[in-house]
Amino acid sequence: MLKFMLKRLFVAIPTLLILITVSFALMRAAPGGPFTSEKTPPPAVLENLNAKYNLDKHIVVQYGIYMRDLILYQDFGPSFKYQDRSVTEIIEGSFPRSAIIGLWSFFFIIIIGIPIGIWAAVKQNHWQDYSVMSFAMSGVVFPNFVLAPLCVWLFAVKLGWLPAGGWGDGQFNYLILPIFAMATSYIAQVARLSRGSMIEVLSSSYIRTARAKGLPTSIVLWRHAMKPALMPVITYLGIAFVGLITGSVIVDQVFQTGGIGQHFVQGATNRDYSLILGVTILAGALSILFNAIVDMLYTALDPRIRY
Amino acid sequence: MTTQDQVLPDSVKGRSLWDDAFRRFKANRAAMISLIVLVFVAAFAIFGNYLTQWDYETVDWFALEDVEFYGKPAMTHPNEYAAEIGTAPHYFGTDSDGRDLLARLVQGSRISLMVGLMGALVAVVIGTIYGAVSGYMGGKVDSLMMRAVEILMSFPFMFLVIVLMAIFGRNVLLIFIAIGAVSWLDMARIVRGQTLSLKNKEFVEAAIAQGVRTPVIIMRHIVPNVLGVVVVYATLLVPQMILFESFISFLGLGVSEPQTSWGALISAGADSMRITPWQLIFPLLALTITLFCFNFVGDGLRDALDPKNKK
Repeated sequence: MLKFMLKRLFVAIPTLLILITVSFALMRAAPGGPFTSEKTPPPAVLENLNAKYNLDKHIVVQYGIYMRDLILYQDFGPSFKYQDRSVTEIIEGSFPRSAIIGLWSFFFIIIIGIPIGIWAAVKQNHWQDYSVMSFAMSGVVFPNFVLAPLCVWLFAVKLGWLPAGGWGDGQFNYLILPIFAMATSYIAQVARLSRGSMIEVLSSSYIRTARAKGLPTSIVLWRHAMKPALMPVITYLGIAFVGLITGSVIVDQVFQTGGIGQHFVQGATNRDYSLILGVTILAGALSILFNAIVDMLYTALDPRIRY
Repeated sequence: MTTQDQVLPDSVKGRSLWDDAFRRFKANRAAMISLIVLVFVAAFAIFGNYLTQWDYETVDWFALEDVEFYGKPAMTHPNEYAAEIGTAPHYFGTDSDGRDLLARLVQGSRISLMVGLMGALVAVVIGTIYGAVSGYMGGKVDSLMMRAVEILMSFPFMFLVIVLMAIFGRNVLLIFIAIGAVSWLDMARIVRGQTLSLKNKEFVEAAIAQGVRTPVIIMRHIVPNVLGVVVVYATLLVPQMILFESFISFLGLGVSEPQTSWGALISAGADSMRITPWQLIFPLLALTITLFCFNFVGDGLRDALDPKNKK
C-alpha cells in the first residue's frame, strides 16, 4: 500500500511537469495578452508592464524563470489581472470556499445518489424505478445556469428564506443554494450509474447462488452485491470529487461565493497566465491524487486486482 | 452423415446473441416508445423548417415592436395589422430579437443533437478501447496511458478553445473538436476500472490458456462485458455534451449568431423567463423529452445487451 502510494507520488512529478509545460506552451499560442484586452495602455506604459512581468523576454527564458520560482521558492508568481495580489494569495483565498461547498455537495451526492440508484435497481422496471429515475433525471435536465438563477429568484427574492448570494463567513444558510446547484446533476448521474451497475451484478450467478441458499435480500445486497456494483461509481466519484472541490464558474458567478471556479474561466479570458497555471497545477495535483486513491479503493473492493 | 443433420432441418436457425438482444429490446415498452419519440425528434430537426414560413434568422419587425405581446406563441399573428397583410404567425412565439422560435428551435436541434451524439460516439469508441487496453495491459502501459488522461483532464480547457478559435474561427467544427477532446476521458477511466476487475475472471484466464491473442481477448471478451456500464454512461454523456456546448456558447465561444443550439436558446430564455416564459419552455421541453428518451433507450439497450438476462 505504502509502496504503491510512494510510486504514484514519484510518477506525479513528471506528470505535473508535462502538464505545466504543455499548458504554458498552449497559453502562449493563444492570441492576445494580459494587457491587450479592454483599454490598451500607452506604448511606454505597456513596455514597462511587459518588462515588469518579463513578457519582453524570449518565451523559453520566461518558462525558465517561471519554473525556477515554482520549484525553488514554491512561488506561483504575481497575478496579471489582480496586480496587487499574488496567485498564491488568490488561491488561498478562494480554494477553501469552493472546497467547503464541494465537500458538502459530495456528502449529499453519496447519501442520496447511491441509495436511490440501488433502490431503483432492486425495483427494476417497476413504478418505483421509473419515478425515482425520472426525479433524478430532472436534475440533469435543468442545466445549472438555469437552476442557479431560478433558485435565487425563488428562495431569496420571492420567499426570502435564504440569502441571495455572498459568502457570509461560511454560515450554512449561505451555502445551501450553491450546494443545491452543484449537487443536483451529480446526484442524478451517480444514481443512474449505481442503478445500471447494480442491475448487472444482481443478475450474476453468484448472487443467484446466494439467493438460492435462502439469504435475505438485505444480506445479498450489502454483503455480496454492493462491492462489485460500486466499482464504476467509485471511478466516477473520484473524477467528480475533483470537479466539485475546484468549484464551478456558474455557481461562483450567480451566488457570488468568491470560489476558485471562476478563475478557470476568467483567468483564461483575461490571459492571466500565472493565475491559470496556478489553478491548473492545483487541479492537476488533485486529479492525480484522487485517481491514485480510487485505484487503491479498487483493491479494497476487488481483492483480485493487483498492480 | 451425422444424426444431428437429420434431427435439425435446414429451416431451424440458431439464435445469435444479437438476435436475442434485438428481441429483448423490442419487448421493452418504455424503450420502444422512447425510440419512436426520438425518431420524431430527429425528423423535427431535419424537416422541421417546413412547419413554418419563417427561417431562423429573419427578424419579424411587427413582433419586435413588443415581443412580450406580439411575440407570444399563437396560431394567427397577434398584431392585427400584420395578420391582415398576411404575415405568417409564430406558432412557438419569437425570441427577444423577434425571430421565429420554431425555426430557431429546429436549427438548434440540429446542432445540439449532432453535438450530443458525436460526443457520445467519440466517448464510446475511443474511451472504451483506450480504457480496455489500459486496464488489460496493466503495468507500465496502464501507468503511461492513465497519466496521459490525468494531464488531459486538468488541462486549461479554456485555452484549448481559444487557440482552436484562433485557428478555425468561430465555427461548428471547433465545438466538435473541443467536445471530442474531453468527452472520452471519464469513460476511459470507468472502463479501465471495470477491466481491472474483469481480467482476473475465469473466462479471461480460459481464453489466455487457449492461446487467444491479446487484441482478440480485449475486443471479444473484455469490451462486450463492459458494454453495460458504457451504455449507461453514454446516455449520461449525451445531455452532458449538449449542456457542455451550451456552456461554451454561454461563455461566448460556441455557435455564433444567428445560428443557435438548445443550450444557447435555454440560456437566452432563462434570462427573460418571467416576462417571456415561452422562450425558455419550448427549448427546455425539447431538451427534456430528448434526454428522457435517451435514458430509457439506454436502459433498454443495457438490459438487451446483458447476456445473463434470460427474459
